[in-house]
Order: sequence, then C-alpha cells, then structure tokens
Amino acid sequence: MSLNPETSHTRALRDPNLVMRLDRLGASFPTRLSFMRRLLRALIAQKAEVTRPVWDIDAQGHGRAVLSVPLGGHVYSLIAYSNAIPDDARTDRVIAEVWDTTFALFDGVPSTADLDRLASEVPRQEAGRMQPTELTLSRANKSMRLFAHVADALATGQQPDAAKIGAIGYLMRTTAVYGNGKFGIADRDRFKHRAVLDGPFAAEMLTVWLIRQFTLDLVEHVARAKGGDKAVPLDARLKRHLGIGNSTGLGMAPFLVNHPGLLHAWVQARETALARVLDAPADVVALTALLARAKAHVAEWSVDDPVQMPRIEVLRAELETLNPTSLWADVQDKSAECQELAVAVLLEAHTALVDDLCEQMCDDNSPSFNTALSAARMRDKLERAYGWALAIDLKAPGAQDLFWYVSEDKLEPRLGERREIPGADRESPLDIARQVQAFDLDLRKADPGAPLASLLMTAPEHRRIARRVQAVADLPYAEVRDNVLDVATRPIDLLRAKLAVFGASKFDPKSDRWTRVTLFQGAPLAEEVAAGTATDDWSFPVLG
Amino acid sequence: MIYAARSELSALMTRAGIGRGLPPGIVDELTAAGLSLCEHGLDGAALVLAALGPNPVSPRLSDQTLVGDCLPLLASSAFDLAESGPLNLTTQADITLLEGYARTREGTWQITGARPRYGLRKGGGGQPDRTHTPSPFPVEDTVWDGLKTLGLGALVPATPETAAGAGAGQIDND
Repeated sequence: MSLNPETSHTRALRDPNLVMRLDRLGASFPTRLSFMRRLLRALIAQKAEVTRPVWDIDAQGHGRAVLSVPLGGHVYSLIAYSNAIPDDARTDRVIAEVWDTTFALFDGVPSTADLDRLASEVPRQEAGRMQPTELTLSRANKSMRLFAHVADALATGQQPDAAKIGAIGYLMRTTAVYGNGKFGIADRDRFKHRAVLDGPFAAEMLTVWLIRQFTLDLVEHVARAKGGDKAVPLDARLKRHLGIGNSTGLGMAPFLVNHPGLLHAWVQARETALARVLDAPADVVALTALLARAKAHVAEWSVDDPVQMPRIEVLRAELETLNPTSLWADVQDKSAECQELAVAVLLEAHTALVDDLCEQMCDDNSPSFNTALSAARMRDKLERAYGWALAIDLKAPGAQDLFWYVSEDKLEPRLGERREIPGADRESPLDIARQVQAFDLDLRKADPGAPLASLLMTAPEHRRIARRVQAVADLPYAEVRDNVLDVATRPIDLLRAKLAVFGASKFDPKSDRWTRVTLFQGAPLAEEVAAGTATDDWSFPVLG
Repeated sequence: MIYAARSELSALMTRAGIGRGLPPGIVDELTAAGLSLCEHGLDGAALVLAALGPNPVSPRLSDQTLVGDCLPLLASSAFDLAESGPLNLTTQADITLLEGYARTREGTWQITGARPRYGLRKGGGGQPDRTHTPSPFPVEDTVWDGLKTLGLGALVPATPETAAGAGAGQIDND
C-alpha cells in the first residue's frame, strides 16, 4: 500500500483516556474542521450569491423576508417572520412561547402560498406543523443591548460603538435550530446525498449563516427607515465581527452520548489531522501569525463565569510563553485550554493536511448486532473497550447523585439531584458507565459458553448497552470517558465540545449547564462571498 | 392524519415504548421494525402502539418453543434464537410486526403458522424487499395521540422544582 505523504501520519493519535474526558472536552476550540468552516469554504468556492426575493419588512423591522442562496446545484431559502414581543416574554429557554424572529430553511424558493402557510406555523415553532419542504426550523431574539444601539447610531449617520460590538458580538441570539424531521420538517435522508448539505449539521449551519445575514440586513433597514437620508450602512469591519449569538442548554449533552459513532468520527478527524500536522515540518510563518491572532482573540474573550474567566486568564498568560517553532512541545505542560487552542492553531496552519478530513465526519454505519457471541467473548470485548467505565467507583460519595431527564414541559432536557427532585424513576439512560458495570456483572454470572441471546432473554435491560459495546468497541473516541451522574459533572463541558465542532467561539457560560456562544463571528459576509473577495481565513476573530 | 418524518416518528415510538416500561434496547428494535413497515407502506405506527400493551412480561423458552404475549420482548429474543436454528413461537399477539423485525435483520426469514402457533426460520424464500417509501409517513390522529400519551411515562412532570433543572433563568433580555 502506498501512502500519500501529505495525508499519512506515523504518529499515534492522542489517547482517548485524555481527549474524551469531560474536562478536556470542555476545553475544545473550533478548528478548520468545524462545520461552519466547511460550509463557508463551499460558499466561497461557489461564489454563492444571496438574494432577497421577498422583503416585506416595516419601519420597525417587523414583517416577513426571504433570503435565497444557490448551493451545490440546489437553491435554499431562509424564510423569516419578524414580530414585536413583550420584553417579559423573551427567554432563551425551550419553554419560550414567542420570539423576536422565527425562521425556516426552505428547499427551493417559496411561493406566496408557501409563505402564507408557514406564517401560521413557523412563528409557533414546536407547536406548529411543517412539511418536508422545510429543512430546518429556528428562532432568535434580539440582543436588547446592541440591536437598538446599532440601529440608532446608523440612523443618525454614526457608526455604533465598536467596544459594544466587541463585547456582545451579535445582533440576535438563536435559541434553537431544529433539523432532521422535527415537527414535520424533512428528514436528513432527503438531502444527505446533496453536495455541501451532505455534511453533519450542514443545513443547520447554512440556516445560521443566513440568519446572521438577515440580522445585518434588518438592522440597516431599521436604521434607514428611522434616519432616512442621514442613515449610513454599517462599516464592513464591524459588520464582519457581528456573528449570530446562540444560547445552548442541556439538549446538546444527550446528543453526544446518544450518537457515539458520530462523536468518534468528529474526534477521530481532529486527532488524525493533528497527527498529520505534527508529522509535517512546521510552517513557522503561518504559526507566528496565527498565534498572534489567537492571543488577540483570547484577549477580547471575557466572561462573567467564575470558573471560565480564571481559565481564560491562565490561558492568556500561557500564550505569552509559547514559541511558534516549538508550539506543541511548549504546550505539553500547559492547561487543557492552552493545549486545545494549540491544536486549533496547528490545524489552521496546514490546510492541505486537514481539510479532506471534513468528509470523514459523518456516521451512516448500521453496525450489526451478534447475539450468538458467547458471554465470555462479549465480556472480553466489553473489558477491552470499556476499561474506563469499569474503573469508575459508582459507590463513591456523589457518584450517582445526578440524574438526567426530559421534562413534560416542551420536552426540555434537564438535570436534577436524585435525592431532591422527584422523577429519578424516569431517568434518561445516559449512564453509560453504570450500564456497563451492570452488564459486566451479569456477564460474569453467565455461563461463559452460553450465547449472549440467552442472557438478553432473561435480562433484556442489557440489550441496548450490549449492542452499543459491539458497535463501538473499535471506535476509541466514541464515548465520553466519565461518569455523567457524578455530582462533580459540569454538563457545560459536553455543550462546549459539540459547539466547538460546529465552529462556535466566545464560550460564555451562564451556569454549569447553560452557555451563550457566538457563531460565524468574523466569517465572510454574503456580499464578500458573492464578489469572490472572501477567504476562509477567519479563525480567532479579532475586532482590534 | 399526521404526516410524520421518519426521525420524528422514531422518537415518538421510542418514547412510547420507554414510557410503557420496556427496556430501551427492546424499544429500539420495536421502533426499527415499525419504521420498516412504514417504509413499505404499512401502518407501522398503529402496530407499534398495539404491541405496547400493559404488563410487559419476558418470554420463556421451553423445548425450542418461545412463549410470550409481549410482542416486543418476544420478537427480539425470537430472532436472536432463530439465528441458530428454526424456532417455534406461541403467542396471542398480532405478529404482523414480525415482518418488520425480519426486514431489519440480515438475511431472509420465513414466518409460518397461525395464531397462536408460529414457526420462525432464517433463510429460504426470496431476497428481502429492500424498496421503501420515503417519509413522511401517514399516522392516524388516534395512533399519534396514543403514542404520545404512552410517552408521557418517560417524561418527568413539570413542577416548580424541575423548572430549575435546565440551569437557566426564565427571562433573557440582554
């Protein structure tokens, strides 16, 4: 077998016992493998031109609009319904009933009849009923600090306060982007073989990029309506620094646990990229520039969270000690934040070694389940792949204090103290380590030569974990290697891991289970993409 | 009639099965079987709802005959055991769903007999029909509501105590 010197590697990938721990996942940074980056590369390559076939928005910014973009041989349209809502109804939570603006990504260009139909469904979000022509469903609330400030400034011919833009970073904040069949929208199967949308969450990322463009168009529209001839457009530098906010809660955590094959694919791609890069000669010029940008980016990253802010301060100090010629060696004794940021910098400097791995971040496998396997062989498999789970002391104080559940209240995922909150009998089965240990216990009691089928007939509660163990036994990055029931668990670590894969930055925790982030900050604007002047060089965005 | 996306219906069936008290792994296979029938133009959702009867009891094996009336528990074990040889089944359950299970398994399967005695054998017959109808799948309102009601058993009731479990406040103006 011949190896492509550009894409092979001799270095071992990092140990899953390091990179799959919660504290490490919770230090993740977006990389050029992130889904937003992949989408932008496709948009840039195709010089995709965003048009506005419908813009029925009044002077206050309310009404409906359509933004369309051709991509990969298809046209997709963001449909937006913008409304006035009372301030006391504005919440980021799933339990919200109203939003400033609601959206759907439509497959094609919607007719007036489509817009009329969706006008009574999309604004109701989870309570509405969509059709397979709708690919995603989303909503966003205005940043009350920034939207009016920007509109007012532009209306009077002034540019808004750059410091405010730097501190907030978005005009609107999405609170959910639903895809894959929810509420009647299309299953991913409908478009998973299409160019560009074939990647994981590609439809969701396109939705968010178009929402960002909508918010920029909207604020300039409101400014023009208010200021008339005095109004000026938003400065391109400020505009580019405005991403779209996102508020994310516990829903992301179960996703990672429930999609082990996908999680493996995501982490394996990043780790393979890192191994390739570390095998290659360092591009010192690129690394020097990127490291300087990363420092500036981190200098602009400030949060109120009492756990995250000290970490950022340590990271800032550590970054000052790094040498681009020995970056990876330098970070080995530094914090997890510093090491993971270095991964992102290293990948950024080696596009040719990295970008093809984006195409390996799907998981469309349907592994078979062999219940003829003997109990002894099943146990061998389990012990080989799940030593980390068997080593967890579930009898230690606090080891099972938490339980994950889904509330009747709009199916909001939640986390509770087992002894304090009623409902532990309806616990969501995210307790992989506990399930592994229970399964192992029964396997030890079983006749070693008996088929697994015999055990599962009398103990069907092990069926899911048995299938999982067989499916992921050879996928080292499939499992979060921690006990998520432990009282010390910080769910936000799971949220950050997934959001970083999406490409989110400026993690701004609001509690240990709730975070705000900024998406597409620094990303090329629609007009730059269409004009062919955009480049895929927007990691570590800095306002300056 | 509700037209449901595949993944949406999958989530609804799964929640219903868990809410009924069945083990998750059993529910996963029941859901896959139901969806497989939907893909072949049959009313898989109604069959899944019908299979989620009260008091699920594991089947018992006696002289190469598997006996039980809880179809989800019976079916998973039946196909496991029939991998290694023909199996007899005794059940009062509607076995239409077994066709769905067969389609989600590797190879071809033969199901013979009449209520309450059936035979299950791997192999023989023609190639399995792999054509399928894409979603959305039509689901009767009563079936949809029935699955939804069962699914409540998997959810924690909304109370002031649990409202804080999301770790976020109630109003976000920033």
